Amino acid sequence: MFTQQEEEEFSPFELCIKCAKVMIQNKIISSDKDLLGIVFYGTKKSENPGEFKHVSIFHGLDQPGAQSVLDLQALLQEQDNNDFKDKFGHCDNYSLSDALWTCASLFSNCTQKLGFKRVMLFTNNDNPHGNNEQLKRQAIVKSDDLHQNGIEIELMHINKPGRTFDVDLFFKDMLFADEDDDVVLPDAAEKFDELLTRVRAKDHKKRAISKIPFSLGGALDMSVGVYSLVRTCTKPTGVKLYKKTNEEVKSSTRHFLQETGEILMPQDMKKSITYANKQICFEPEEVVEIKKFDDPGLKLMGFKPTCSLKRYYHIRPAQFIYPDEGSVKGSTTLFTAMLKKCLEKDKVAICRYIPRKNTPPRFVVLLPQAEELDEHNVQVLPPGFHVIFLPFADDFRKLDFSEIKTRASTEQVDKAKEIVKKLQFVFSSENFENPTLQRYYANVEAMALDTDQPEEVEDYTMPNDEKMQKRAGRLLEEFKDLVFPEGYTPGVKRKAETVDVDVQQEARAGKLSKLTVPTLKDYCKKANVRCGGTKKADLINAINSHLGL
Amino acid sequence: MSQAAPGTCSALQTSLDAINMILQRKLFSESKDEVALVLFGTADTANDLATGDSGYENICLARPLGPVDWSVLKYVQNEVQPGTVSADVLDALVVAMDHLVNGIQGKKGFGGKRLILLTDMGGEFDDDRQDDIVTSMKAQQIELNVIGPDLDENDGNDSDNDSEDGGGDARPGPSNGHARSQTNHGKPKSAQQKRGEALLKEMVSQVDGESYSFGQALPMLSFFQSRQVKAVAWKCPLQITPVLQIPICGYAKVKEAKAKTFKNVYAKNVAAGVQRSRTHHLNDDAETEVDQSDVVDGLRYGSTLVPFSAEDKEAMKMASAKCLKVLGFTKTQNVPRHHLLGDSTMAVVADKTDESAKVALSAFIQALYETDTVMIVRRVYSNNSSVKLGVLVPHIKASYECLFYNEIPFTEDLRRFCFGPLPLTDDPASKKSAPSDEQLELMDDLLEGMDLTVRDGDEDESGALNPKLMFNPYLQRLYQCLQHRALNPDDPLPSLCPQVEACLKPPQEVVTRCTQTVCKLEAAFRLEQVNKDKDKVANVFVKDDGEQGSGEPVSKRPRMGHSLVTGLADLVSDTVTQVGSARPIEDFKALIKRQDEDHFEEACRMMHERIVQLVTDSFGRQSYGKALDCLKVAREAAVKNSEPGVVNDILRQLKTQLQAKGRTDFWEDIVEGRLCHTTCHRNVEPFRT
Repeated sequence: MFTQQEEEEFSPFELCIKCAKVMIQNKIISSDKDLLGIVFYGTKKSENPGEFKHVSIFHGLDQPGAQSVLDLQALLQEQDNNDFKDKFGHCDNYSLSDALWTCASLFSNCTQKLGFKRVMLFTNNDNPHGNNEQLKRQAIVKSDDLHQNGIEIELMHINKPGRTFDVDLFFKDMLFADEDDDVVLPDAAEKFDELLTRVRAKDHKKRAISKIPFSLGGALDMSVGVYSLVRTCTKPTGVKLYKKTNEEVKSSTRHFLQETGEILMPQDMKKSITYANKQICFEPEEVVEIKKFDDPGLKLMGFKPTCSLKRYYHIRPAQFIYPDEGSVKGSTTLFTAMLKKCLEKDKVAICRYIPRKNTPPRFVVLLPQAEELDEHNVQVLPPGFHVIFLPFADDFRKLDFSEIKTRASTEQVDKAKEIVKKLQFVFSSENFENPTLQRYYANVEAMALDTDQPEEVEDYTMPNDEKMQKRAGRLLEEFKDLVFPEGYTPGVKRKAETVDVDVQQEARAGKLSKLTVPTLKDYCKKANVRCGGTKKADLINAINSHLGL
Repeated sequence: MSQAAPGTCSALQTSLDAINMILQRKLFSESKDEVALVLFGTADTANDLATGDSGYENICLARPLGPVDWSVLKYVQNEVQPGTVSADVLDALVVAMDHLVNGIQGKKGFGGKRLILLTDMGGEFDDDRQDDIVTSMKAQQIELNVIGPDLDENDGNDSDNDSEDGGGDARPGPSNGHARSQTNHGKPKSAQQKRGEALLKEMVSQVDGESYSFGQALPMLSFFQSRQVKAVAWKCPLQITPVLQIPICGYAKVKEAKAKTFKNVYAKNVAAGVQRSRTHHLNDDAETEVDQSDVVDGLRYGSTLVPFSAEDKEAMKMASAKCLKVLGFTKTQNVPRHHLLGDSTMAVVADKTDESAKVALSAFIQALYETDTVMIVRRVYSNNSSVKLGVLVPHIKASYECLFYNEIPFTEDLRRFCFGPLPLTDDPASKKSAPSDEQLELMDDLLEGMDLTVRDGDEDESGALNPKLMFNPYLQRLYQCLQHRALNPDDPLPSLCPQVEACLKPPQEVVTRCTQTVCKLEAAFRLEQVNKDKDKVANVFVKDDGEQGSGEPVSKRPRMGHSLVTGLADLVSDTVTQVGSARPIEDFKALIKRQDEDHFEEACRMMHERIVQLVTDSFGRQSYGKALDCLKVAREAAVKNSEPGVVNDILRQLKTQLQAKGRTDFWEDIVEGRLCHTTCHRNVEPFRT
């Protein structure tokens, strides 16, 4: 386990520790509420509550933090300053059953509720107990015990040099007893590669935002679950800490009267809005009442062709609905019928949507989506309706584009088309990490682990100028020749033929205020007038005093 | 003006309503427009032009030019009295024009001048000054709008022939085709009215003004206008490689209009200043307050709390320069509609002052449009703000062309949830809850019946529920309440205005058309409400069917001995808290009889353990009988409590446990005793909830 092979970068032990470390680092970002523990077996020393020999709990089942990462980091140090030997040591005389027992007791002693329990067993020994039938049987029984308690055991096997891990020797009996067929272990290297990949992304548990009734009219009320499939992932919110002890503090907001400093309780206050200098007041309950129109739910208003949904009708990210058989039986059938017909006829449903209690209604478009699977039969797109929020008339801004009448000629458009074609790619959001977020995670990690430099983060949203130039450089030049006049520099406005104004004369005539700020500034520069401010009045004052007026 | 047929409103009242609405719109949109009110036909005379015998009598300048405030609204609502005298319409126009022109003397920044004349045209007038008035109106660039009985109608009796309003632009109004209100207040037009009508019609056409009937104007005005936001451009070059840069301006095109926010005020003295302060407390028993200066910002790294200073914050910031850079082009379909993020759509046009930029952008807009392609861009709003990924989609109209910008997700923003398949296809695997042909046909009828498009020509923006014509009901409601409260501070909130209420329902004709289909659908699809409470209990043991996400925590199980307030009976009797191995059946029964808490699941769980223990420890088949009895009792109890799921689950687990322990013979006994899992399923089905 500890011997390093020449061609390999790490010893198997280092590989395991690395895996654990990366996993903890990933977990901290993806789901920091998950608990994690590390147990060594086959150690010389023993450290566990069950007083089993040769089993050491390195990290109890707990929420991992910086210290957990640093502890593992220490085990990866060079031999000289690595105290693993002193602290734990090595011994072949262990029982796998004891190790598993320790793991199981970690789970059972945990006071928190655990949704999912898993033990990852790292080993490069495919026959740990050799011919010791008793130890073998004990391990098998214990493994079965864990299974009964809903603890999954995943074998992370490492091949020994020049030899593949033979699962049939022992682990097949221990872990795959239920399976009759030959057990084929997945490729070890691939598995480890996956574990060693740094992924900094928040994990989201699939959970309905709400389960609401969907009324099609009359008594046709089915139930749907509302989900969020696309939502901007933001930086986690910070905490406030007490400087002296570094403990988290709770914050609360108080209202008080400005003059007397009297603390106000909620019942002492009203809500007010000011219009045309009049303060209009409501009781807090009235403010809630104004917002309440109906109970939460979706209500069908009618159907329209899909093309009626304009792409720019966008005010907030879409949601997704899927039938909820748990509240109303038969929802799936009704929902499916509607989905099927909408897909067939290329139509969308318009609904009134009240997402929560005391929330005003909005109109939404239900955009049907059929299920889509990839070549491995893995779902790419789930079946259901996307809920697209419609704007109201109030939300459209009046814009006047009447000054932009110029249109490109066919020749210019054709050149643009060539560029478009040359620089075309198949876009997918999957290929773009959020550089701001990744950078943030890397920074926090560096601060927590006290490393000098945060891990480098690649910004995939930076266009590859060189490559684009190479592909379309010539076309771009041709396009510019077709469109831009000689000597055009974008963004630099060609100076309007400035009529030379005699500022002095204007000043004497007291007409400085009629001139533009740039003209005045220009003059100040030329005539070396020192000016205290940039406002027009400042400029005029400065010029006047300069000329002694 | 003040007379009306029974059952209808007088023209005066209708006019006042209209004025009220115009003023409301100005007030709530916080418009800087100034408004004056001139009444004619009043008993008094009060205007600048009426000097001695020069005419202009019975005309009052009720309110000089100024921004709309509450007093003018109150005046219009409560203080205008109907009079009996008549005044010359043209005199009134002259007075108003005079006041308007004089009133804005010396004031700057007015975009236009407008006279809105509300009249039933019943009064006498002297038409020899008509030409003068038209000439000066044109000279002063005053716009004239007339609201009165329908000027286009041939006969006042018939109000049903719809005449489109003159303006070509989409005009906000109720979408559901609400009946147009009365046009001439139930009376046929008099000869005088017809004469007046002819005159005004001519004047309106001479000055290029617009006229509306009361019927047209009222519903349109009944919706308060939201605040108009001045468009501010976001300027930045659009960069297609550093070689090609096109100066552009971005303007918000669609963005949610929000109401002003409510502020907290002191109930006893609303004028007193209320301030907020944040205090920080330690998490100890006393909740010790700590000083602001002792509090630092921190970050969470797993269980570790990392303090960091302002300098750290600065150093951590990602340096990014303001930009709009094209990453490449892609087919429109690669950016799905439901992926759009952010809270708005931005319209991108070329810089107005740059002719070359206009040509360049136009070329790309058309090229994208013709090839069904979009631009993928990196956008940074300002230096050092966060990087966004965006899409630019071409939009071409007869009057303008532009690109629409929307934010699109990064990989972190996508949540890849898996959902079970729905029986959309005829695949026999998904037959279970697939809709039948009959059901599908009815659904087809519903789609047809509830079609909202109007099939006459311009399909683009027509049809009910066009977002451009629907006003936010919350804002309407809020403004209604605000006005009511402002003018009647002691009244309760008014009820929801019927026009707003009607907007929240499907159009009446659609509902009528579909009543039958809906009835048939109700019969064809049997929907059944699931009783929530029972469901919750039963679900504790029934594993989520994978559908609901298996990571969900199981509802809290009642724990033994946790209840602090136990009944007297418990104190007296020796309370059973465990299903022991000696008398498991008796213990179990005692447990489930306990009233203080629901111990059923707990009891079952312990019974399960006991059964497993009995079987595993059994020498040969010795204890099998006892275990079997235990199972029977548990099963009976489950049937009685209508919770078959619990026992089914025990059976399921038992099967695997027994197989693993090599006690399959006991399983055979269960099957023989017809207690088997599958049989049980069938037996149990009828009383399943």
